[in-house]
Amino acid sequence: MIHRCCAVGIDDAVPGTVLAEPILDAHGGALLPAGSTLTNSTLQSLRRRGIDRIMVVNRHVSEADLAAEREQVQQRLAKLFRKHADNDKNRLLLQYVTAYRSGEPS
Amino acid sequence: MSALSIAEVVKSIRDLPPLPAVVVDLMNNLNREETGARLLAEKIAQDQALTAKTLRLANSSFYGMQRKVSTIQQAIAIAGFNNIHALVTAASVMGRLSDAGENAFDYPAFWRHSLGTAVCARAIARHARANPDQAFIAGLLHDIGRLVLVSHAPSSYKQVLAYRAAEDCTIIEAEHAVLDLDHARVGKALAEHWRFPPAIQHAIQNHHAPAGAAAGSLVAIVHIAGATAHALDFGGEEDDLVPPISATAWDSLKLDKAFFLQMFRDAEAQTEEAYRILMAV
Repeated sequence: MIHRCCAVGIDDAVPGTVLAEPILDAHGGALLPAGSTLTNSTLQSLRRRGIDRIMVVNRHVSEADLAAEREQVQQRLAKLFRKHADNDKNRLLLQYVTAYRSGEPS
Repeated sequence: MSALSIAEVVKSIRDLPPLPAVVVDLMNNLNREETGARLLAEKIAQDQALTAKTLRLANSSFYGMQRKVSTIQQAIAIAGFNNIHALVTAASVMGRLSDAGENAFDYPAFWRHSLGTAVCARAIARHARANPDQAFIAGLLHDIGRLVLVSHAPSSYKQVLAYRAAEDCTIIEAEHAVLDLDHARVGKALAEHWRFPPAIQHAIQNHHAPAGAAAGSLVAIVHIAGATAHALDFGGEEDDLVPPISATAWDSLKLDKAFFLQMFRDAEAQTEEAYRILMAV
C-alpha cells in the first residue's frame, strides 16, 4: 500500500532509474534484483528480452508523503486487528502484514 | 432475537437458482480427468459468457501461464482440468448469487473477501500439499451461508448487521445472538444441497471452529486463508475485523514468514483481476 514504486514502459525508463521490484524472465528467474540502478546497457538488454514494463522507484514521492501513507496504513491495520490482541497468532499475522505493507521484500 | 430454524432456511435453499448442470456433473467427476476434460470443454463451449470469462482468466495474472490460450481445450491442457473446473464453479456460483434485490448487503465486499480467501487457500494448499482446487472452491464458498441468510430473511439479517455494528463483534457472533443460527451451518446445508464433496462441506461448516480438525486439513486451510483475507482488507468494509485465529490450525500448516509475505503479494495481484473478470456481465 505504500507506493513509492510505479510501473513504467521500458521505453520511458531512463538510465539512473532504480528498480522497485526484481525483473523476472519467463521462467521466474531474476534478471535484475530490486534496488538495481538501470544503465543504458541493462535497458538495451531488457528490450532485447522483450520486457515491456518495469516497476521503478518513484522519485517524485516525498518523504512526507511516505510518512503520511505509512501512518494511514498503521491506522487501518490497528483497526482491522483491534480485537484478539492477546491471541499469539493474531499478533503474528499483524506483524507479517505490517512488514509486508512497509515494503519488506518476500 | 428473531431466531430462524435451520429447517426453514434449508427449505428456502430449494428455491435458490440451481447451479448449472455442468458444475454439478463435474463436481462428482472431480477426480476422473479423462472423461471429465472432454465433458468440461463441451459444456463450457455451450455457454458463451462462461467461455469468454474462462479464457480471460486463463490469460490473466491469476494463472500466470507462459503462453496465451485461445480455446478451452488449450486452457484445460495447460492449466489442468481441476483448475479450469474450479474456475467454472466460481463463475457459476458468483453469477447466480449476486445482488439478489434490494437490501443493505455489500455484495462486492462479500465477493472480494471470498475470492481473496479462495486465492490464499489455494496458495496454502499448494504449500501444505493438499488439493489446491478443492481449497480454492472451499475458500470461495466459506461464507456462502451469509448470502442464503440475507436472501431468505433480509430484515433479520439487517438486525444482524446492526448488532454487529453496535457490539463491534464478528459476524458469526452477531448471527448467534440475533438468529440463533450461523452462516457456517447454513453454508454447509447449501453445499450439501449442491452435492459438493464432503471435505468442502466440512470446511464450510467448521471454518470458524477448526480446533478439532486434522492437521493440514481443508478446514485449517480455509480458516487461515479467511483470516488472511480479512487482514489484507479485500472486502474493504469500514468496520471489518480479523477474527480470532486458531493456534492449532496455524501450527498444523507450518507456514513461515517468507511464505506469508509471498502469499500476500500474489493474492493482492490476483484477486482484484480475477474479481473484475468474474463479476463482469
